[in-house]
Amino acid sequence: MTTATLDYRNTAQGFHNPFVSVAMGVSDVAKNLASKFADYNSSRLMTITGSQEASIPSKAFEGLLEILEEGEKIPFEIFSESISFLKNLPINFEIPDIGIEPSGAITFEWYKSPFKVFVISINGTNTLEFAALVGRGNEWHGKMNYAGEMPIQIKAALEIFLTE
Amino acid sequence: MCDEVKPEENISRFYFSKKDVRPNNEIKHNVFMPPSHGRMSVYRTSGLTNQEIWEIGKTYVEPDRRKPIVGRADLKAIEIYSCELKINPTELPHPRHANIEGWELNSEKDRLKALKLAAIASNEKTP
Repeated sequence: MTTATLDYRNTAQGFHNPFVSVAMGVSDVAKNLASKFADYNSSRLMTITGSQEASIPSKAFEGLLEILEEGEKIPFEIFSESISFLKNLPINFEIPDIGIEPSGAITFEWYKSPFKVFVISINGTNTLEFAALVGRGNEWHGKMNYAGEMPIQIKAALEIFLTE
Repeated sequence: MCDEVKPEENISRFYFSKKDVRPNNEIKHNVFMPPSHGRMSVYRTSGLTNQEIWEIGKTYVEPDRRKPIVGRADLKAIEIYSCELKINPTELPHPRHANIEGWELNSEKDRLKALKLAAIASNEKTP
């Protein structure tokens, strides 16, 4: 288990990014993590986690670990896209709650109430899918290509949702 | 059981991950996302005691999933029908078993339906 508790996005000072430790194989987590990927590839894992310029919110990282610890096999493409998504999440956005769908897609949920929920899903195919209930009778959904940065249309929709 | 699932009937869906529940005990949409084959397993639970519903889960659901049940989501059939979904009784592996079908298997629209069902469902944790 990681014990990190900071939101690294908001700290300019030095930090210990738990996932970098995983990539370098120096933490307890690392000993167990590799076997939990459906298609683990250490060199690709280094590629997505090797930079300390960008970091992952620890709460979100812990959410991903919890899924793995429950025995779910996450395809590597989905995991790496999820890491990329979290690294590039605008710093003014709240950290989402993480879940997994039956298909293996990782979901990022922003919740206000049962009928005010915004969900982005990553399925490892370089697309982001989103669906949102924005109060009774108001619904949004869509799918867009994803190349590392949140598409401006989804970003705008999420900003509206979060600030309403 | 009657072949037709009436709108007022209680429907229960068992779930297996702690991540399927929010800290405030509400169900997440993940519980109602359809599997790739489009048949979402549920049980018709009108007239059963709470204990009888859990016994169905322990006897017929857990062995199949090979995971311990974390809880169940309960809602009325009419809520499922209002999402333009069907409930087809199957009677196997249990006379009260049914499948929610009629998904588009287009994940964005199905996710929206799952969000609505989760918003309405009540959560019962395993005793």
